[in-house]
Amino acid sequence: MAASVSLAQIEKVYGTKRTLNNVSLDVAAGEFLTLVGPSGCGKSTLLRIIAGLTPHDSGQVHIGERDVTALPARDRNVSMVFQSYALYPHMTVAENIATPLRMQRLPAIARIPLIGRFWPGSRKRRAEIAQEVAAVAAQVEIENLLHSRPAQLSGGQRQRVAVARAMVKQPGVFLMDEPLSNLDARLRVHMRAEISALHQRTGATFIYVTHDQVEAMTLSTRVAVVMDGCIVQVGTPRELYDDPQDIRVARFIGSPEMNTLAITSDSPHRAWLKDASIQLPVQAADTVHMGFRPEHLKLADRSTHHGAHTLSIPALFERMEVLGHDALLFCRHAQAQETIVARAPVADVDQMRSRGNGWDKLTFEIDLAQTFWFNAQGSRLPPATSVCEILPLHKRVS
Amino acid sequence: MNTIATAAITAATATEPTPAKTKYRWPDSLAWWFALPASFLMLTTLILPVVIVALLSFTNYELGMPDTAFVGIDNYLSVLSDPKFWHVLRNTLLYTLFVVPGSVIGGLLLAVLVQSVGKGRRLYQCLFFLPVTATLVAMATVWKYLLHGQIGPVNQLLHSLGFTPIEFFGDPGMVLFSLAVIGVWQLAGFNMVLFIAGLVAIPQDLYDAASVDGADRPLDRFFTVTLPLLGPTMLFVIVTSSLTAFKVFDTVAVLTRGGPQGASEVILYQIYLEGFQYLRTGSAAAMTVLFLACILVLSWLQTRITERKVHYL
Repeated sequence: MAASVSLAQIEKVYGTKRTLNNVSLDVAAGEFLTLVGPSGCGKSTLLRIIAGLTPHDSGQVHIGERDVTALPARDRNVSMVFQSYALYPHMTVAENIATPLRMQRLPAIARIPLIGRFWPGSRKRRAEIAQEVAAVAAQVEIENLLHSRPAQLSGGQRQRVAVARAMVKQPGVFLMDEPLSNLDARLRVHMRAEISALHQRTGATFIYVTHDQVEAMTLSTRVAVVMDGCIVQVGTPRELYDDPQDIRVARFIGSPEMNTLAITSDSPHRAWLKDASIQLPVQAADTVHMGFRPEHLKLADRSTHHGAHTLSIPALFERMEVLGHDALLFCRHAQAQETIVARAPVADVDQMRSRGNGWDKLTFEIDLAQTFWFNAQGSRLPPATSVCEILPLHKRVS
Repeated sequence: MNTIATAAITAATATEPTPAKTKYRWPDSLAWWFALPASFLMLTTLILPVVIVALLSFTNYELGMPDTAFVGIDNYLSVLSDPKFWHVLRNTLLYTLFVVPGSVIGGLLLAVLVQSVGKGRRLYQCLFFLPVTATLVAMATVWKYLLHGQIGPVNQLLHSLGFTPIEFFGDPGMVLFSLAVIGVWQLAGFNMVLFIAGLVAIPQDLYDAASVDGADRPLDRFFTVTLPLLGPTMLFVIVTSSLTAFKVFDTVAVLTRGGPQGASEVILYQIYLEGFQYLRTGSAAAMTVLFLACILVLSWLQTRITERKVHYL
């Protein structure tokens, strides 16, 4: 039932703007893959190309074993849930859900209003369709809404109708274009769970577009990060968080976003950061970016001495946001002036205060193993296995 | 300042249906002042003339005659018992029955076609809209030439194709149809513009959904999405088209003068003859009131029947 999807070298150009640049992607049958990226990155266009709604300029689309590049949407064995739900306002819920089946199973003559029902055999098929519609409606718990019009429904109910209309065809691939973005926060969390359950139950392939990284991380088996018309990295949510291959991915995944400091070095393994003897863990040339996640920063007493594998970062405190258990500390690097955000338990912050440490100047510690290094172009630098020098103290932060 | 604000709020809420329990509150005097200019215009240009005509219809007033007397409903009785009235009413309805489907379907067809044109859409829109802006009296002369029995190009064409020429305006069985063609030609462009406005408002998402659902052939798209979503526009277009068709006058007055043998006599033309040729103002007024009643009933019926089916939101 579930079908695999394979994209090869997809290109799409709008006017002079290259929306998709040589995109290739393989989605296994039954997988839940999320396309995530900032608005305008081309993720929706990619989904519409898979659906067959937008023609692309070059490249192939395979669904299952078939090359569907030249096939229209109806022949692709896909269903789609739209951001606006795109329910037909003049039809009842039941008619909305029945539409894909009517189009599939009734010949054009039998679809004509009033006289169509006299077409031989159409009565039996209509009964079948009504039965299947009722069954699908029961699955998404909208049986009691079948005779209402979309305008009478709430956002969550419309969403269920849209899902039911997608389900009724029993497609190999579900395509979802930001289906939750029109719902309020509570309902979104609830519907997230329902979509996840739907994936489990149907076993179909899901391709899901969102700009919300939380949705991407919580729903998917794999996530593809789309940036500027390219797929920058594909991996499990854990991989994207633990092992980002690009500085844009590193910044996009995780909230608040990863801190990055630009560091100038004048030779391999020789870079400079004030007050700290760093073992630069990568082969560096010219500018490198050091990234570290706010949750990995530790508040340090200035008196304590840090080990060889930790790096201390002096920062000027600017403001604090308390989230409950944790607090976000917004600071500036003491020399580089770059913003640094740290996430620390409120208890630690209080402890710091009670010890009478100066509040405007803080020192953070970061384990070098928890830093990410990127070259000037933003690609991840592999950790160098060779020697790491201990550098003289000098102020050379850019 | 405060009174103005309250007055404005009262004026704004006055139109909303008040719950049964709360007592209806008469708007402040200031609200009436705000409504005065519009009320004055409505009164002098719409309501007063109608009232005067209605009053005249109960008199034997004739233009220029010194004494006038109330005659009760005599005018109505004589109009309703005159076979002429029923004849012109029938002609008008027949004309409307030709023009409304022609101009609505024509306008819809033009709108869908013009919308699907990539380059030069504007040009087509302008071309089809031209008849609306043209003076019908002048254009009628052109039509008279085009459809002329002997020298008209249309008949020349028919002749060269081996058909017998048709007396478009000379044949009593043909004349209403010929006038209707001109009526359609004039209205279709206007309806097209209304339909285009309706088409533009249809969300593209619905067409996408229809494509995924399997309705991606042009006819399926049209019947699944386009036509149902044009419902509200359709209602408006049908009502305005029937009113315009019902009020047909200028082509009749210029081209046929009701002929041949009264085959193209319509209500407005008859009222014009009564009132301004035979100077029987009382009788003309009675016909006018009946005409207004017809129009009212017509538009009320259409709205009543179709409204429930076309407003989804």
